[in-house]
Parts: sequence; C-alpha cells; structure tokens
Amino acid sequence: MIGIFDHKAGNLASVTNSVYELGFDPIRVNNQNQFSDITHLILPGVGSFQKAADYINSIGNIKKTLDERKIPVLGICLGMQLMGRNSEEAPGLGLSIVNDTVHKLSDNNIRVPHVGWNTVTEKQQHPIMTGIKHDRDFYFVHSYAFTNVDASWVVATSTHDQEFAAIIAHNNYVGVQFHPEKSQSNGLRLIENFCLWNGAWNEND
Amino acid sequence: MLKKRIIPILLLKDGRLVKGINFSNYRDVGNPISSAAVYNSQQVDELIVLNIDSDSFKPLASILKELSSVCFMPLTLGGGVKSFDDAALLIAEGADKVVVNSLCYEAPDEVRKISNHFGKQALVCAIDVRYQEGQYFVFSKCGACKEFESFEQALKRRVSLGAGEILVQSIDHDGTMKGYDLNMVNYASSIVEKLPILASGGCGDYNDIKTLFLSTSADAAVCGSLFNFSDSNPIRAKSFLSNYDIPLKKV
Repeated sequence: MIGIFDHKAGNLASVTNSVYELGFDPIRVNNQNQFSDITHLILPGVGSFQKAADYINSIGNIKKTLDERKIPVLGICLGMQLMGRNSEEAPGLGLSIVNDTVHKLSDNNIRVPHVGWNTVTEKQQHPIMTGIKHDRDFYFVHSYAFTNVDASWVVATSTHDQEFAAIIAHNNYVGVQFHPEKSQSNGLRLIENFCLWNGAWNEND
Repeated sequence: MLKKRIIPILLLKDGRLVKGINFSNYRDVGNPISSAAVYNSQQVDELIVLNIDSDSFKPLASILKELSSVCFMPLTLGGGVKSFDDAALLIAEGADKVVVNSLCYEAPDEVRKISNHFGKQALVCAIDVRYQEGQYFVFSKCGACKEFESFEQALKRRVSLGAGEILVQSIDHDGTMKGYDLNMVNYASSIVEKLPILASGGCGDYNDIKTLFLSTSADAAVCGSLFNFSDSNPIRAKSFLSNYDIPLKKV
C-alpha cells in the first residue's frame, strides 16, 4: 500500500488520484502507527514550510521508523524541501536527509514564482526516471528551491535564470521539485516507477 | 527554460459550461467533466475553471472531486471565492491554484491569508478591464461593478496582497475572437514586472496566440472561445506554434 502523508499543508487529492489511477492502493497516513501498513510513502505539498515541518516533527522521529523499515519515500515540491535541513521561507526544521538549506529563487532577471513547464535534465541515473525520455518538461510551481547543484545527491536539475535541483536522492529517499501528479504522462510514469521501486540507490551509480 | 503555456478557460454556470461575449449572453457549451477529461487526454498545459454563478460557490465545490479525478495537469480554480476557507476547500480537493478577483476588494485580508498560508504560488489574482474613453477601467463581480481605482493601482493592489500570478482579462475582447488586447497585456507586464502574467480575452485562432507570445512577454495564453467554437484543439495549436520558435512543453 502506498502511504500518502497528510501533514495538513496541502493537496492530497491529486496525488491520491494518480496513485489510484496507476493501479496501486493509496492510503492517507498521519501518524507512525500507520506506517506498518505501508510499503511506500509519499510526502506531498502545497503550502508553508513551517506548518508542514512543525506537524511532521510533532509526530515523533519518522525518519527513524522509515529507515528501520527501509521504506522508499517520495517527496513532492514542499515534500522534497522538507527533506532538507531548513528553508529560507520560514522557521522550522526539515528532516535533514540532505544537509542543505532551501533558498528563495532570485527574481532579479526573471519572474518568480517559477510557474509552468520546464526542462528536467538528468545528471545521474535513478530508478524513478526509468523509461522517461531525456530533457522532458515537468510542471513546476514554487518560489524556493535547493540551489546547490553540485552535491552528490542531485539527480537532475532545471533552470529558471539560475540552476536548481529538480530531483534529489539519498538512499531510500527521493525528492522532486516539480509535481509529477500534474505532469501528465511523464509524471504518471515517474509515480509508477516510484511505486515499483524497492528503495535501493547509491549516489553516482 | 520555462515554456509558454496555452490554457483553456472553462466557465461554470448552473453546473454547465458556458461561454459568452463581453461577459454576457452566455451559451451552454457542454459538460465540465467531459470537457476537462478531453483536455487532459490532449495533454493541455493547465486548465482554468471559473464559477460565474453570482454569489454561490456551491456549483464549483460540488464538481470538484470528479474534476480532479480526471485531470492530471494543473488545475486553477475560482470564481466566487469569498474567504480563506473557500480557497482551502478548493486546494484540499485538487486545485493547484486558486483565482480571486472581487475578494481583493471585499475582503483583502482573506486574500493575504490565502497567500501567506498556501504560498504565493497557489494564488492567482484576476483583473477584468474595459477600455473606455481612452483608458482602462477595472471591474469586479464578473464585469458588473466598476471599481474606482486605476488599472495601475488595481494591479499593484493584487501584488501587495500576495498574488503569485496575475490573470488579465479584457472584457471588450472577450468572446469576440478578434485577438488579444495586446496593449492591455503590455501595460500590465510593465506595471507588474516580477510576477507571471496570464493574458485572456479575444483569442480567435492560432495566429492570435502566436502574436501574443511574439509581441508581449505574457507567460500564458488563456483561451475560451477558441477551443469551444472552432475546429481547434491544444495539440494543433502547439503544432502551429512550433514553427515560430516559441518555447512550448515537450512531452
């Protein structure tokens, strides 16, 4: 069963619909007791970093449980940003799966928020991109991002006057800045790849 | 690089899709769910659905679940949003972005609250204008209520309330299929330099979209009549535009 985490900061309907349409069994979870039922976990997100971070932190050390059971985790947009240490958007501590801060995109030369379809360029291979052609467009809608693109946990980047991480990964965790549940065929393929993934991945494979 | 978007706009009245001219004389053009499903199969960039039933938010709320179950592209929903709670409901049930217009005048604090809670990127502020006596006048409540501030002030109001994108609609060009009001779009882009601008009103053929993207910096072409009243669809629009170096979504 694919767990969809309800951290009270977003739109769960779209992610749930896409998992269901792909033939998997989605279930909403919001506490650790439910983790024993799930094989995968998705962290969705629309909304503020602080609210989501506070909620996740309030239910105990979920990272410990997820690592013990080696549950594959997919963070989407805000869900991906929660995998960082913290964010310029608001106070609150992320899960620190990647030890980096989320920064505001610069609007010196370009309009922000970054809204619309943009190219995702792979830097490393990852199982969630299986069967998806290179340099395709996915749907982004955000003002903050991981801008340190040289780190070994950056799987793919995108550019909006500046380069930023579009996909990050570390062990059983993978995060996407774009919304695969809104990126039609390629996005649905990515979600399907995730639901079939066993959580194994090493940097620079 | 970021691509330009072509976005069909669907107007909802009494549970049916409608289309009008100059914000009046609305005709029934079909079932919202089947239309959305067709657009989804055509891999459209995004879909805007606006409820134009005056004073009632219920028609949009009631079709939400079904609408978001057939759409795997971004959904921008609004029309008649009267509070933060209305916006929260839309987002919880599948909207990626919420559109507000009259709320910017009726309860600006609610608009700020939506932006602060969900982030700017979840808020689109629409602005409807008519060109009269040599200048643009701003109207709220689906063109019924003339607001007493200039186009510039109205744009700045929306920016200050936390808009992530601005949807500029020309009431004069709406439904006429004679092309976008390019002056309106250029003016709005010059006043609002930092946010994406979505242009709406007047699109009649693929050339209008091409002209919009080549002579303004609009980020998106919003199309109402185009896909309802002519033998056209987003796929063919993209094929046409691909001849002109306009960056479009690559699937």
